[in-house]
Amino acid sequence: MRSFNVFLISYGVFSFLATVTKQVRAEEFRFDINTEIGVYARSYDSEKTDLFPNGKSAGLLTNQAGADVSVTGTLGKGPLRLSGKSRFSYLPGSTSPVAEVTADELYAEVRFSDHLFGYFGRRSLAFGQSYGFIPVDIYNQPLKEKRLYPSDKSRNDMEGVDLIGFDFLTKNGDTFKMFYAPEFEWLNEGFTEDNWYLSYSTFFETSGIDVTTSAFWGERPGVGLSGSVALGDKVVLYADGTMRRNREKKTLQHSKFIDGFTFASGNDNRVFTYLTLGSGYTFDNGLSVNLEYTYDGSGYSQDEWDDIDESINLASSMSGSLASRARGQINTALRHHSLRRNYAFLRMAKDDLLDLNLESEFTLLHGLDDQSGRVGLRLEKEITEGASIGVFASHRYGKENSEFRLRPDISSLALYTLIRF
Amino acid sequence: MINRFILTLVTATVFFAGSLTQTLAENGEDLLRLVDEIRAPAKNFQFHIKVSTGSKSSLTMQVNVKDQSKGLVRYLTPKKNKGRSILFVGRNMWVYIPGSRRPLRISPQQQVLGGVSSADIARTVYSADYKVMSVNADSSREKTLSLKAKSKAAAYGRIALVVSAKDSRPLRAKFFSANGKRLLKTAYFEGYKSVLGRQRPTKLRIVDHLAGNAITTMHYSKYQLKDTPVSWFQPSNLQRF
Repeated sequence: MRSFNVFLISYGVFSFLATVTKQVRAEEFRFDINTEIGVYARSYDSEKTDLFPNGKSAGLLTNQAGADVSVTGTLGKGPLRLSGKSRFSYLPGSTSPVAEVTADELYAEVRFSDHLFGYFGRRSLAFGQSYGFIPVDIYNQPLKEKRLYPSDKSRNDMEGVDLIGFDFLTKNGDTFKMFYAPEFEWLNEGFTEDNWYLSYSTFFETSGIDVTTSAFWGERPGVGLSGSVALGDKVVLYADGTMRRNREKKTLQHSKFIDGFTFASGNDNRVFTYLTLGSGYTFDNGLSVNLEYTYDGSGYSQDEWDDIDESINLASSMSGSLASRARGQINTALRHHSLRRNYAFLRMAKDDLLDLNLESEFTLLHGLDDQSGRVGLRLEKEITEGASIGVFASHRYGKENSEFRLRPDISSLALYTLIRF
Repeated sequence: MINRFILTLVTATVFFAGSLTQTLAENGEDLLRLVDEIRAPAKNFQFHIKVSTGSKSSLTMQVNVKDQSKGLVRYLTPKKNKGRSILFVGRNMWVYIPGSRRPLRISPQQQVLGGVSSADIARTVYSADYKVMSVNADSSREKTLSLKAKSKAAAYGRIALVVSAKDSRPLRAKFFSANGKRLLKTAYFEGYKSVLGRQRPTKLRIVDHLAGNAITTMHYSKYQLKDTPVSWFQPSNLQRF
């Protein structure tokens, strides 16, 4: 199967280049390059938790200052387009400064006609309609998002997927998308298996409903469904859902500490439902409000969470290296974007708050299983063409050892500036 | 005898009232069609808009219209918004923000800048969303068309559109909320110039009554007849602009 896939890719790339070579002759070059520089300072209000009795030892800093530079470029000639995005991140620190250069995107796309596009390379992909949890956005890595910037920038500053694929847009307005993302040593490092993705999008003009169905194969194969509809001139309803085989989260096999805790991926081959239902409303004054409910079937149930809570308490009663090891095991097992099953998400945004040309966004993510959550407030103002300053404040709330109070960074305040040229 | 006379009178009144309403509606629809022809030079065309709100930053956009019912708005400046686009298919709208990497469904009420909503930019004809309820001759120089939304998906519940009695060019319009009672905005059609063979407004000054009568202006330019490929008007294709 692997040999067949490699053959298929090679043949695809060869055909692709042969076609492009023929078509780009006698066409003018189109070139566009954009640079964005972000500089930030972030301060944390840390509080000891059972899982992190010493925040500094866990690698968390009380204050941070850093910079991110991203360069996006597009070179086009005739039906060929080359696109790339590179990002440099610098986080100075007293003990371990971090400087990283990442190629988020680098791909070639050829337009065979107004309806057929082929592409290969590294490409950022995003799917779905929701704002909080987006079940169909299966290639997203929310844990890697630097959440101090606006959400679209945070989402964009990510490594893409190495793939080859095509989009076919029919004259009736439907879209077929298909790509293959292989798992090689130097491609798609996070993958453990080759990935295939296939989707079909359509729009029913009479009812105003748009729908995307998808199927994907890989570590956690499954099917997805997204849809949205506008009701009147102010209301939008939307939904994103997947049913996927296998579970990402590991469960505690027993709460006793026998040469370490035992976490295991149970429930393999079971199908887990992940669903977000959302609605949006736009007021006459421009205020947009989104309210969403999310059910994540692969989240920890109350019984499973009780076991985890018990293990944290057990680790707290230990001392020395044994305690560190126990906490490390639990922390590793709980490194997921979300842990429980039921959530509510609220977003309120207004572009021109108080008539001051001030972009504002308030978000609230509330865990319905343990009543813990996270609130965030962002204000951003463009001070001159291409330059803006912003402030982002966030706070986690909940009782001890609840989902959003496991970690010590209870509150944070970030100041940032974004310069684009 | 008297009863027969009253019955005849009532029947005649109903008949003439109906005929009069029908005549007015026909005239009104014709008048609205003339207004739309002034605003939209063809079924398929392209133009640029600059939206500015006094001292605040301004936006420039390129708009492609297809079959009068589909619109693609692409942001050109400022740099912050470059690459952003809004798609209109009938009364359905999507926005694409480059960083988000996905088209998102939005409502026609979603605002672009100041008092200007997405629908104000991309919807270039009134007759697609509104029907004429009455036409009043305010004076020898002006007529007022009372427009009512054909469905709840229209951006406004009611519009009072004042046109020139002489040549049907739109002069100003008052936009009301969904229930038709609350005055939201007043727009003034200004800067008439010869564009693609006839006099058309090149400036729309909008007074936002919900924001302390703040003024937003839209300047139209670079009109050209252009038949844009149908595949441009698909949400999944917005990433390519």
